[in-house]
Amino acid sequence: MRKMELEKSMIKRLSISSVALFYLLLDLMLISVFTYLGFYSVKNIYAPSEMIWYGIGILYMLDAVAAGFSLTLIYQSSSLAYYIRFSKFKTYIYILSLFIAALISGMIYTLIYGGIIFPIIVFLHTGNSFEIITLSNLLPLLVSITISSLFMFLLVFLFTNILLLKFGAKASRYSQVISYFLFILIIIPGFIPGINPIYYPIYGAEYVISYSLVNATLSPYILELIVLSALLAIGGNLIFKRMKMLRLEEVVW
Amino acid sequence: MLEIENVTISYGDLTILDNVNLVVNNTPVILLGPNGSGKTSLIRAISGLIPYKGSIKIKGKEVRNSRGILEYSTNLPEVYTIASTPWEIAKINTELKGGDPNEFLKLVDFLEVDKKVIKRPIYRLSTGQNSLVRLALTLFTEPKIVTLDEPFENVDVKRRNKVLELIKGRVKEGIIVTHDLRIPKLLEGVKVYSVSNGKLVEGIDENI
Repeated sequence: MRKMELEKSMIKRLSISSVALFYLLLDLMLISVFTYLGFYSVKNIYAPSEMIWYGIGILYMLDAVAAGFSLTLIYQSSSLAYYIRFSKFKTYIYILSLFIAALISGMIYTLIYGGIIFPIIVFLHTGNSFEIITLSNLLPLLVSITISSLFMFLLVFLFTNILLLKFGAKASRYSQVISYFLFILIIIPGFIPGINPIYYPIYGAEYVISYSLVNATLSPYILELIVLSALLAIGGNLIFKRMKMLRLEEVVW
Repeated sequence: MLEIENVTISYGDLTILDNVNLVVNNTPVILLGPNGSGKTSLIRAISGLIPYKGSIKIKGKEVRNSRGILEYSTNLPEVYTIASTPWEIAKINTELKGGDPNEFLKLVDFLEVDKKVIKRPIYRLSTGQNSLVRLALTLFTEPKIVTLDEPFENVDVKRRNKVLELIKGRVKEGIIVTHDLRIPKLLEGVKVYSVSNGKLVEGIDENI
């Protein structure tokens, strides 16, 4: 029976390794400062419309985890070429462990943000306690975060595979660009009210999180994210398989 | 059996190895050559990491298209990025290639590497420790065919003898790459090939 060593190692790498802790805590600190400053422009913190800032915060945290996800894929690309040929390595197990680890890491850090940091920031602004995560909205929130995380990681998976296919192991030079690009896409909805989640899926990912907090139920837009995630998964896997075949001919470490 | 037939390796316009032929069957061989001569490139090609023209077969299977050959291992550093610490890599290797992680611990002990080291990220180890740990990771699954890139590099004199002993005892078939002219004397009886100017010749090339 498998002891799932690859999965365990991946979870450790993306959640509690010293590098992950450093970057994720730094990002957690940054988003806390941004949220604190951002709340000065908010008239009523408790208004459901302002909950989008919470969705933005969560997506920002997921972007930070996605950066680790992307770098891990690039960093391990050479060893994948070896293990595929000279071991019982299964590509789907690798991809699955990468996604499970990223989801667990994303969940841990977003819950720290939502459950601890966000209420503290609200308290600092209003002097009142405000528990944004309650027992009634916890389940829909976890489902929404999971689907939004999947969408984000699959988006990054597709972009990273395109980079690996195009630049091989040199893709690491460009991987940070993905993270910065996504960061811009994530914060735009905070400044442009009235965007339709259907036409702007990243806003959709933020919206479903905020919706589940306010209404303690799932947003219908979650279906759009599931469909888009499925399409991204198909695209990402097709490129990953092509990369595997081309790798020996295209990539120089 | 490891068969290398008409192999050419190039980086852009620069041809590193040109039409190289070598058959390794049930015996280790030493590949001697100066820095940049293409020794490591040949091991990278054998390990499926870089492109090559011609044919490289391990146990009759072309490396380019091969899947699931468990009998081959290498100590190339880029292979050991699958996990963070040597201990994690050993446990993953056990799952993916077979063997017993306790055997890895025994080899680490034999090479006199501090056990604490194997729980630290591999990129944080000293170059000597890194070299020894990769050697243990390569050999603990008892692979039939092995390629070793500069296994004596950055290793102190005392541990060099340990490395030598380990290679003599465990490497029954494969390629040991080195630029050190003393190694063929230490591994007496092992056939030597030299790489020079992109060509592979039997024996020690006087021009090296």
